[in-house]
Amino acid sequence: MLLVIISGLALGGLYGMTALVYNVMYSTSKVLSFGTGQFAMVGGICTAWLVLDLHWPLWLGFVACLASGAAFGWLSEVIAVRRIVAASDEHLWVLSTLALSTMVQEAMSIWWGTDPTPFPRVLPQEFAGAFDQKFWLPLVLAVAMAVGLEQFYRRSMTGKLFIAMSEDAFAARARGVSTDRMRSLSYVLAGILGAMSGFAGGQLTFADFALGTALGLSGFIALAVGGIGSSVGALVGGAILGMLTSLTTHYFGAQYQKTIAIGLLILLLVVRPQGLFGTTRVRQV
Amino acid sequence: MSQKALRLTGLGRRGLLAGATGIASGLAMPAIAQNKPIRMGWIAAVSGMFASNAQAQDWGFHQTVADLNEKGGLLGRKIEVVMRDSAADPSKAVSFAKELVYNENIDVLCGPINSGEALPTLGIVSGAKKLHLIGGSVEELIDPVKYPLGFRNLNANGQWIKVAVKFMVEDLKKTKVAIINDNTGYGVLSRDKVTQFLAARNLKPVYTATVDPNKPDVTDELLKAKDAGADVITEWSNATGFVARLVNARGEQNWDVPIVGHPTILQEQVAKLLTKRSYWDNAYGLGYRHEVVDAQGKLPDNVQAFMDKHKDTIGPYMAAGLPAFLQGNAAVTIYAEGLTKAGDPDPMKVKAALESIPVIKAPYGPFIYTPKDHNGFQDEGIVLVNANALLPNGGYPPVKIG
Repeated sequence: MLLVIISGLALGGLYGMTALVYNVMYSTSKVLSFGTGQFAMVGGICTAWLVLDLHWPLWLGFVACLASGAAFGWLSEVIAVRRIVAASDEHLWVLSTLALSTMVQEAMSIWWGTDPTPFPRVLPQEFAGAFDQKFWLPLVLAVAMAVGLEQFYRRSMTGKLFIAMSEDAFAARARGVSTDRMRSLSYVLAGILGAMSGFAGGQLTFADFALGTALGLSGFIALAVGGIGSSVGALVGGAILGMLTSLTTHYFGAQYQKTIAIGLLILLLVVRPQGLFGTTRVRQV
Repeated sequence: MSQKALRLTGLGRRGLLAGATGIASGLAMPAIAQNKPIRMGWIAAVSGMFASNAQAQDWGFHQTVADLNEKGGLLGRKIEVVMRDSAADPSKAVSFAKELVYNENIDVLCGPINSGEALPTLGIVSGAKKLHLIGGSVEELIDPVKYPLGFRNLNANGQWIKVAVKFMVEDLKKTKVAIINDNTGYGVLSRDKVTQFLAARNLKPVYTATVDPNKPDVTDELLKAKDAGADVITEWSNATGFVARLVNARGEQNWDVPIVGHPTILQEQVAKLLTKRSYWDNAYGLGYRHEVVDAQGKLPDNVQAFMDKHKDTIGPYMAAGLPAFLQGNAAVTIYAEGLTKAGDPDPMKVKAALESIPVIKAPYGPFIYTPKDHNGFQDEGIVLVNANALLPNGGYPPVKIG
């Protein structure tokens, strides 16, 4: 049973990290990018390529993984968000982010191949059952990521500007905040965090071009369950989804996993549309 | 003939010339037809999802054609290959099938080489009345009534599953079977077939799980199978990541039950994803008689001869395994035998010839076609091999139980 719980929490950590990445981008742009899961895919493949194929040291591979995430995050803002958001109030970003996500996935499948490849062992640890790094790395990094983000929002000027933009981008701009720059910066940060999640979960997921789509969907469910905008919500939403996936298999069978996960999302949207930790904003008119 | 005479007959010099040319070309026509090359259409997904396997098949196909051309071709005519890359996209496969059968004037279509692409091309090729050698394993691809010119050039999926179930029950003596398959159409279809073959032996699976192949961890599925008392696991997926996770999860729980299943489990790509290579020891995948070595470690003669002949170019294709390039060889070999016996590329004549040849001994395995059965490949050509026993020559030693 311990292994079932740990495995569920590890999956939850991975989903929670993806939900956090959604949050970072949403705070400044109100865009729920379909490319969110691809940050992890790019980060994972980049690390595997540099460390296992080119024999770079792991720490350098990790730095390069974060750099690739930052570059991809920035590019996705430039290509799929900036002009679309500026030109239209409609949700056209759904199409632009989906298109970019598909293009990146296909490009990676052509360059990297369609078979998953190994991901390097991060720490010199013999396989240790429930306490193996492949389970606890995503868990620990998810918590660290959530705590770090909260500190960033509360203590740094940039973080406070993100919050200001999330509350009212027009008011923030009226007070001299360069909202375009802040949005761009938030996508760079999201790219870094997404790539870090790919690094943390790489031993579970392998370096796989198809990871992004599945992770993007699960991360979105975690986000909706926890509540958009809340770091704690993202973590809790991820943990609930991961545990539910594992326990569903354990008690009912693997064939019900997706039904129950999506069922949970629908139920929550009906009962509590803002999610467990989300808040409903009332705007005075 | 004088100019005057020509005028009297109503023919000018030009008319006479045209007439002479016409007569000459009419007389020459049978000779030209005799020398016209045999055109083989070939659709293979050499890019996209299944590229590595398809590239090896493509290589085997072209080498076999080259070998035949070296010996003077078929019926004294050279063979031309008109190849199209469907990139694992069924819509492309359909377009190329139309193009090849209607515009390229081919004598036979080989491929597409996976079931998902082959299914939508059946009606097109059958409608054009072209001979069709089909490289997919799904049962529905072959129906001598609906598609009388369609012949399968590998085993059917049901044959694999029948042999796998027989291996688990009769050789390994295991009766508490857990079925774990991915949630693709193929995975679900295979699960149902395993259940059917078990039922025919009065057995029921103790646990069944249909899993998303992209799920990052399958520990819970394995634990559930263990709790259900399974003494053997059978997996049905061609997703290397999924199969590797399954083997890893079993190894990490120190649960040494055999895993038996789809040939994917034999791929080196799976081995690379294993936490420890020893996890591969008690894993068995479906292989072919043609890749099982004898007591001296030698492959069957016709397989070795093909590999020796092409030793300079075979290198990059060995990783995909012997069955891949031998399947490409089989498509050409089967058609060559049928055409040679028929003595004419007319599809109906080649069909009749294929149905009457007692056995086609391709390096891939024996094929026997009858008017009622166009599956051809014989069960005895399929064997289970131990995943972690691959030899440097690409073969496997026979499985030893106990």
